[in-house]
Amino acid sequence: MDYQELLKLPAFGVPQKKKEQILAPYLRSLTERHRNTCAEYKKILDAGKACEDEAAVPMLPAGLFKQLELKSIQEEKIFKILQSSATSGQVPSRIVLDQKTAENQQRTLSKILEDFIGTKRLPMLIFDTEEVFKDRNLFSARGAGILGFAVHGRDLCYALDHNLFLNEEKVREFLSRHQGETILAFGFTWLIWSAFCKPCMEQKKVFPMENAVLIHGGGFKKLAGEGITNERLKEVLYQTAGMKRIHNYYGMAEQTGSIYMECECGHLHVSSYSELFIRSKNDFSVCKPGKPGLIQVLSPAAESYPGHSILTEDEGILLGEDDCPCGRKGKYFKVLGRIPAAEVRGCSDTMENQRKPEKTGTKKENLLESAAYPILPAFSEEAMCFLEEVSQIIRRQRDVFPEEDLRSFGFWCRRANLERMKQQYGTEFRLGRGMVFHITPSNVPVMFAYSMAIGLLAGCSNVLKLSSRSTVSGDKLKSLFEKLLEKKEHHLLSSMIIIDPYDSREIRKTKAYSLRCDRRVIWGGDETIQAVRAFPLQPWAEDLVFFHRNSVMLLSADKIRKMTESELKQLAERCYRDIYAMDQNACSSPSLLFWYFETEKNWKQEEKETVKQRFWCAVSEEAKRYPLDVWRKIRKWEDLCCLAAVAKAGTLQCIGISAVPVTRVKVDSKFVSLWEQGAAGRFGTFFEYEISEKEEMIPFLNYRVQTMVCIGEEPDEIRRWLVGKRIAGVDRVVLSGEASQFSVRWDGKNLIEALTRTINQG
Amino acid sequence: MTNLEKYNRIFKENLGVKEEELPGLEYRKLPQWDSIGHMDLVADLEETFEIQMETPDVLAFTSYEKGKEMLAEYGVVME
Repeated sequence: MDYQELLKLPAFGVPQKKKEQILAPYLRSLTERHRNTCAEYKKILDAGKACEDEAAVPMLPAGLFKQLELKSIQEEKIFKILQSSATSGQVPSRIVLDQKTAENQQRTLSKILEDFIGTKRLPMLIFDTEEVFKDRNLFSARGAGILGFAVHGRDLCYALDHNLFLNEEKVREFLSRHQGETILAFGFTWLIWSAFCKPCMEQKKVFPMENAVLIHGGGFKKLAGEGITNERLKEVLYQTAGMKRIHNYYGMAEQTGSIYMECECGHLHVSSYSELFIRSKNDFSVCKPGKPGLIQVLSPAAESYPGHSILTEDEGILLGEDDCPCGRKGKYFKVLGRIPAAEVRGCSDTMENQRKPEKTGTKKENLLESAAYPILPAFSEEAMCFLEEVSQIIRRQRDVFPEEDLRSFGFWCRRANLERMKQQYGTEFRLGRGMVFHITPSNVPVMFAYSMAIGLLAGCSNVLKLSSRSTVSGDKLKSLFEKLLEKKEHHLLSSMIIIDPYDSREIRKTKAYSLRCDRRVIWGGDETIQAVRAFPLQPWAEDLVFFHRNSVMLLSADKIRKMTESELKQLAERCYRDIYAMDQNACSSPSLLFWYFETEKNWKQEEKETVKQRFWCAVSEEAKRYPLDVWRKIRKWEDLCCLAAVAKAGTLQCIGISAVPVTRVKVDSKFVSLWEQGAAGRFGTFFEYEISEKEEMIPFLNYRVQTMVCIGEEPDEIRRWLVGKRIAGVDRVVLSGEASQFSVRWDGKNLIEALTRTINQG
Repeated sequence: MTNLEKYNRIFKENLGVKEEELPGLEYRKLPQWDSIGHMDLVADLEETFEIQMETPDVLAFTSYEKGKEMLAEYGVVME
């Protein structure tokens, strides 16, 4: 059966059970087609667990299409690449279409629409601007949507001018021209609200549009702040334009055409040309009607790209099947909204959560201008007292600073630890280098505080570039510092600290600070570092870079086998801190695990599995307290799909969607190249690799590897071994429980030494 | 105040327990004595007794009794 046959079915006239009999085999064979034509898709499926679902069609995370351009057709067959509308800072999805798929999508849309507005083309009013077709950027996002619907219209009238203001005269003229006729109105939900409903309400304007059928989509996401719901929109449209026939629709760029229309009863309907499941946010199993969960959409029209079964990040609820009072057959449902993105800690991630631009204080600007920055001797009493006070406040006010990362920082800068550092690295002839410009990472919110603390202890003045994204921990620390620096006793320090959150696109600032500084400390991904390096420094100035690293764990299976239950529990607790403290997203969080089964112990396969099981059971028990929300679960799965897609076949095993904090992925020696490119697990993802000789680790221990956590091995012995083998990577070897502790020696560099000079004798 | 009294006070204040509950108290047996509560305990002990605990000791400090032994190693004697 081909898609044309499928389209001969009435859009909403097939009872669910019958539809399933037709669609399920169709989708299954489509899976096989994609498996044979899209190499990445095949690798993802082969690496995954078998799908034993009702639909038996494996799904992909919607976000994967933002990361990869997946296609099941040859390059020369590409007709167009559809980009989803992405809000600023987000990556758009890229959907590869050939002529046939694009046509099928258009036909699907038309068949669905016909059920609502018939086959006759209607005079059409579009709540958008014609400019949308002139600006290529806008075209990809909105233009394609409009064109799809426009084939059902005639005498098209664009209601908005290029500034998205209502062209009242034009609209009134159009309406009088078609008086008494049924007209088709179309637009994106947010535009209809902001460019039509709102101004009309404010200016008390009314339009005679009783005969209009309005179709709108795109969701209420942009209107959430104003508290606009579907009901409110309908109410206002009735008041201002007398509209009664209003249909919202649900759809997405990943499956253009197969939209879900809202019926007269306010329910969204699944047509005969698509399928929809609601999946549990806990374990992704299929939910019964009435239970909310994530929406999975299936479209047999997706032929040119393997997107026929997609798990969205929208939450919905199935209301019933075959029994909607409107008479349409099949499932009907409701959309509840997008699941919220989590505030992820760690080193690398893209997320939008823009901080409102702050007024730049005159103090900042003045400091940028001022010729000299104060410097102090290393470990000055001024710096120590300030940090000690910070520590005390954080530790004493647990209810104000309950965040784990803040408490760790408070613990780190306690007097005893500062004194220890002073003993280790301070001499009376050590002085700060001058001004340090810190470019701090956006996703380890407290990193700026550690960086600043080191700068202060070194005796330097500090300019701290913070991300323009707002974070709870980062904001709290920033205001705590600012409050303390107002105190008289910290007057000197207040002239040595500038905390400046700004957008990285404000290169003017980065350029100016770079020219003024004596040391530039860059924490960030490889791209950030390269971008910042483009800005010149003074001849005497130097960069201190902390690029994207990953970390490993070495586990002696024999030691774990011999541990008592209570020893194991303690070990698991320490591992928990190493791994989950920063969402496993910090450079020091281990994600590649070497299981060391010494040859002389003659390990049998089942013994190996028993030891692993023992360890993971204990860690899983600890990890129960890890807040693994659905957003993180999806990211975790998406990361693995992405890795499987780019890896050589067979590199990864068992990468299914995982609902638990511990996700184990078996890797083979081919994983080396991914690892070197910086692959790392997040949110509890572990790449397990078995070794019987330590030497087998060597290919993995490249320059990217930062920390090695030892379990059942002596760190000193391992350090000696690393030196003996002339290993390129691994800057620190720690016992379990110490991985996430910040130290003055980081990435193999002594930060205090790098930011100070000593005045030597002789 | 004797060292033992100081030691007990830190436990009582940090964990909100009574004197008689102290013997046998173990790390992570109480919800308050989690890894965060642990850091606070260590910091208060260091501040009160003017010592600097090494990381392995911070990790090995897993019970009320263990803590006493550890402090003895730093020269804090408890009768």
